[in-house]
Parts: sequence; C-alpha cells; structure tokens
Amino acid sequence: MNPVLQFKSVTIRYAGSVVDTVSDVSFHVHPDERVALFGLNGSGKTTLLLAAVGLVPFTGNIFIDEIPVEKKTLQKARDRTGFLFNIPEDQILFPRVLDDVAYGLIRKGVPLQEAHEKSIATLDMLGAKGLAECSPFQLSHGQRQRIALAGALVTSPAVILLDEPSSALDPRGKNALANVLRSIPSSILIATHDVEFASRTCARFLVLCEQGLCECRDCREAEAFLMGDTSVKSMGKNPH
Amino acid sequence: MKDIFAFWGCGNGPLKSVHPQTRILAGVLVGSSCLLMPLQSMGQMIFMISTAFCWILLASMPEKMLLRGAIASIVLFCPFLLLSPWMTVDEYSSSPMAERFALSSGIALRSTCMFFIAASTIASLTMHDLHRGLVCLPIPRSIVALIVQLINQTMLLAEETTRIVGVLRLRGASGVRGSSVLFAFPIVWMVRMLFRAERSAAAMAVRGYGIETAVKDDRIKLTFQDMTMLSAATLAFVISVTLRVKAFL
Repeated sequence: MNPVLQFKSVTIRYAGSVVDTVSDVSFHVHPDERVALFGLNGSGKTTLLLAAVGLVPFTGNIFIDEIPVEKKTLQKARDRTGFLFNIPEDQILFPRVLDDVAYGLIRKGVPLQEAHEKSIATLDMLGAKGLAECSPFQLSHGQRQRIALAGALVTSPAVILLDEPSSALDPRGKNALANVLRSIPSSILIATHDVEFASRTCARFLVLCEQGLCECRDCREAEAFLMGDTSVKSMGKNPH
Repeated sequence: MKDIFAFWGCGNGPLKSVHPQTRILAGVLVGSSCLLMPLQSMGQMIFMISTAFCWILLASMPEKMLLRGAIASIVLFCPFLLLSPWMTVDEYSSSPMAERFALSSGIALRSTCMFFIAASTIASLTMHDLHRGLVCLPIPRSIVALIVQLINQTMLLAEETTRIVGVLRLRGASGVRGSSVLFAFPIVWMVRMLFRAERSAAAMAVRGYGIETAVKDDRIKLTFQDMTMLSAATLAFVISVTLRVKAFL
C-alpha cells in the first residue's frame, strides 16, 4: 500500500532565521494509520503540519495521496486534507456553525440539504449537534474547537492533520474525539503534547527533537524521551 | 464584544417575519430614501423622520438598544451643530444664522435618521440571516464572501480587543503607572491583529475559501408580506428621488 502522506528530506527555515526549524525530516503515514507527533515547544511540530498544506516554504518533497505539495498541485493536495489549526476560531469562516461545517461539502458540489445532513451527523459524532444553529461567537473555546474539527472531518479527507486537537476539550470531549478518530477511515497525523490522548488514538509515535525525528515504541517512551531520559533508546531517526 | 454581538438580530418586530433578503433590500431602499430626500420644507423633513420612525417601529429594537443608539447618535452627530457659523448660505439672506443652523441641523437630522435605519436593519438580521439574505440577492458571490468575512473578522477583532482590554484591567493598567502599558497597547494590538489576519488567511487558503465555490442557489419565493414591505420601501424611495429631481430642476 502506498503511503498517503510522505515527507522526503524536508527542511524548513523561516525567513530571517539562521537555523533550520525542521531539518532533513523524512517519514510517511500509511492509509488508515494514526500517528502522533510529539515534540517540545518550538520543535517544529506545527511548522511541519503547515508545510504539509503548503503554508510554509520548505525544501525537499511532501506528497499527500501521491500528489506533490507544490504550486501547481497545491489545491488538489489541500482538497484531500482536513486540517485543524491550533487556534480554532481562525478557521471558522461563517456566522452559523452549520454553514461553516458544511462549507467543505458545498465546495465539492454536494447538494445543500445533503451537506447539512452530513454536517449535523459529524457534529453529532463530536457531541456538538446542539450547536448547529449557533453563531461561533456564542461558543466557548472548546466548543469552537469541536466545530473546527467537524469542518475538517466532514469531507472524509484522505489525510487529517490535527494541531493540538485535544488542547481545549473537556474529558468527555477528548473521549468522543478519540473514539471518532479511531473510527474514521482516514490517515491521521496529530501534533500534540497530550500523551494520554495520543495513546488512546494513535498506533505510532514520532518525536521531533534536536537530533531530528525519532520513532518511539509507545507513547510512554516518547514521553520519557521528551523529558530528557537518555536511557530511552528510540527505534531510529527519520523512520520510513 | 458581547454587546456588539447582541445587537445583531435583537429586534423583535414585524420585520422578522419577512425573508432576510427583503429586510436587506427594503433597508437599503429606506436608507437611500432618507439620503436623497431634499430637506427644503417642513413636509419633506416630516416625511424623512416618519419613514425612519416607521422602520424603527418595524424592527422593534429593545429599549436598551434604542437608548444606546440615541446616545451614540447624539455623540456622533450633534457636533455638526457646532459647525453652524461656518455654513455657506445665500449672502442676501434675511436671517443667515437661522439658515446656517437649519443647514447643520439638517445634516445632523439626516445622519441620525440614517444611523437609526442602519441600526434597525442590523437589529432585524442575525449574522446568519445577513449571509442567507445576501446569497439570495443578485450580488456577485465574491462580494458576498467579502462582506461576510468583513463582518466575521470584525467580530473576531472586537472579541480579541475585549480580551486585551480585560487583561489590561486585570494587570492594573490604569493611572500613572499604567500609562506605559496604555502606550504599548496599540503596538500589541496591531501585532496581534496582523498575526490573526495571517492565520485567518492561511485557514481560508487551506479550506479553499474564495475559490470557485459550488454554493447551491437557495432562492426563496417572496410572500405577500415581502411584496408589501418591498412596495412600501420602493414607494418611499421613488418619492425621495422625485422630490430630489424636482429640487434640482
């Protein structure tokens, strides 16, 4: 099976910076695979996710569903991706929750009625069905995060990239989200600090650190690795 | 921020029973009618005030909002009266000061009427109604997207500003010791707004906002109430245009 998300020797350096934020990172995610990406603050987790949808310039190659993330094919690649930003209100673009969630479907030409039905079903999955008619401005941060998530999941994209998806959720919300993420037929890459959430959702654990990208056997090992436990032996740099 | 949000759709009058596109269109017609009405006679002035008054009644804003609107209009438009001595009138006028005052008060009155018509129209529409109404009107989709985003982002901006002000209060940014914080505030605010704009633009790019969208047409058949509302607003508009043309001739 071909990987649906591939990073090949990706290096990212922000303009004006003298050091690489991410240096020579390679890994891939197979269909239906759920991968957690750990890393200390500023290690480049978010940057890596942003690069995957062409929001940050990079050198190397990134493929989404075998489509290269480059100028000519960028929109095609984005159309196969669901993305959750770490500040959810930034990605809510409509004054009614239902319209915002349904937007991805409507863009794809799904009839309005069907789009609304599917959106309500997605909101229901995330325990947010009751918010469909609300304005995002009436909602709490956690509720907005669910709405943004619903917008990312509703189109059933091939790849879902989530930046701190559990950061604002209550325990019930985290539980619902973990169940949803385990059940959907998409490949998922989650940048997170939430070890417990990652352990319930993911089967692979990557750590972005000074040495590069390392793969750990389980989330406890990843946590120990992040805590600076030198006795932990990672499975290897730049896993493939 | 909550007050700004609460203003949208706070009205509870008969206007709510017509379709959003009718509310928007009728609001534009009534507003244009007040804008174009020449104020050369008492009758014309009464016509403009009663048109605005009818629109306010139809929207039925809560008293609290009406009071706030009245205070805002006094603060915004009463200073026009201070300009009276500098108004240009006919040099052979028998009472130039009275004419000057009539001119400036005419501007203030027209502005107040326009302000209340705009406020009443907003009070009759929730943000979702506005979006739905604009989609149903024959306006290019790009313009609709732009208007919706302008409102959406303004609300986010207001929310962000409220949060910053809250933090300033919490951290005791008042009095002499707080003045340094107050001077820094515009810079902090601007930088945060720029970052937010950047992030919103990124989200729009990822979600394909603004690219050929296939939003299905959701035109709704107009009811008798819609037709009555539109006819009345059109009549007011036609009367104003006719009087304006007559005044011009």
